[in-house]
Amino acid sequence: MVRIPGPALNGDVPDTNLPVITRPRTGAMVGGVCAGLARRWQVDPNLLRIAVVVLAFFGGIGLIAYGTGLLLMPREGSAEPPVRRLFPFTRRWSSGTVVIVTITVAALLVAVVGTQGIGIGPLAVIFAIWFFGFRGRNSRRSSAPPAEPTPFERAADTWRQRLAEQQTPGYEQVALPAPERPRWTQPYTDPATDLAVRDDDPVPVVRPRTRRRWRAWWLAFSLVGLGVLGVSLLGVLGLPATPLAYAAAVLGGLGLALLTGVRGGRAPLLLPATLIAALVAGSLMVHAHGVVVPELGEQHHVYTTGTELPPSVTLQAGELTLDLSRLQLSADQDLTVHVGTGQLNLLLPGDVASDVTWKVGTGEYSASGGSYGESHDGFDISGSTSYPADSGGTTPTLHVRVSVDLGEVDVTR
Amino acid sequence: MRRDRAAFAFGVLALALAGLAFWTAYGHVNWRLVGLLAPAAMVVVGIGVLLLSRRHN
Repeated sequence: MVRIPGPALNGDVPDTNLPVITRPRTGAMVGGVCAGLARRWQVDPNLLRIAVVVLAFFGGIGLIAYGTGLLLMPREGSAEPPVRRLFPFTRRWSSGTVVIVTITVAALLVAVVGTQGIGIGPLAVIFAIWFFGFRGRNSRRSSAPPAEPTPFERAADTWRQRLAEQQTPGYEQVALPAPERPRWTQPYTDPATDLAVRDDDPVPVVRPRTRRRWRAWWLAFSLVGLGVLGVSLLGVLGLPATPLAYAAAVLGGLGLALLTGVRGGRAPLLLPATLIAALVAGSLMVHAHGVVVPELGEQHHVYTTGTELPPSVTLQAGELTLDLSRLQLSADQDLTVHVGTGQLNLLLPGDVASDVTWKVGTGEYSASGGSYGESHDGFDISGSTSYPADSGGTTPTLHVRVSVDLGEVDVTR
Repeated sequence: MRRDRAAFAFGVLALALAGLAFWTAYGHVNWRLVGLLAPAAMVVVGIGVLLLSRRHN
């Protein structure tokens, strides 16, 4: 870990001596932010890169976060973060102030840009992938050919390869033409303890792995067969052996085979096969069994007449606002409203009598307006309230049944 | 030993989807419960992949 000694390179302001994560010069794809963070957290940098790309699709948050890291993380070997070079007046600030101000500006950007939907994030990601992933690498490759190894490196490589071959199980000495004088033979050493190569870069042991990895398919076939056999037995016992059940059995077997390959290596093409099985099982679930894609998001509906008013309104997750404040009815009418997870705002009409029956699985119910006010919260709460028309006379009645599984109901009259 | 993170992540997700498919085939799926468990499972898979990606010296 690098600790930047204080600020400001001019010594006017006391520093907070913050730990600094640097951006490495090698292994960086764009600016080295992900590589630096991955090195610090000891994780695969590709995971962080994927996270940045995914977050970039959500209002460009990933790009803003990456830019913030780029500004705050100095290059390896440098003590000055780029933000101080770009904005020289920040050299008089302490490191803590620079970090706080930069993160605040980034948060403001997220608040402004993040509310604009997807925004330019995907475009920027696609451009970055093309520029840095393909164009940049190709141009670098063409402009900078790999350096020729030195004679010493060639000799070292040859020696390492020779040692690796001798440690390979099943290695047989290749018959060489008899030398004029006895060849030097390597003295016996214990490979586990005494072998000369002990640096941080262990000698790769060449093993015939390809055939063994293909053999892993037999385990996958066995697991899939067990699953299919189980479904067939269930069919014999009277339970329906549907195509979906068979697809689930195949998918489960392939998933188990993948898990068994975490340590020993997965069979070739096992991952694509699992994805295909997942697609088949998913499509069978959606189409054959009528799985409804849930409605999500924020919905706002205004109804002013009885003909406009639907018998039921449903939202799986999000916020649903039903504005019935100007509703006019010529006869009694029923309305059923259901929200799975989220908030329901119900604005009742003043000119029509209303009868609200509500039920909340987990959450809160509150009613307000005029002389009506009540609030309840907890699990499995329910109740009903009648609201007469403001005119006091006999009017049609709107019967509303409200249910929310998890969330809040807010009734306003 | 290098561990196959992709095999772990996709294996767990495949098993979860297979379980959901079985549930759909032989019973009535409680989508509310699925909605609660799915993001939790994703978090668990992510943490598992992170743990597997730690370098072991």
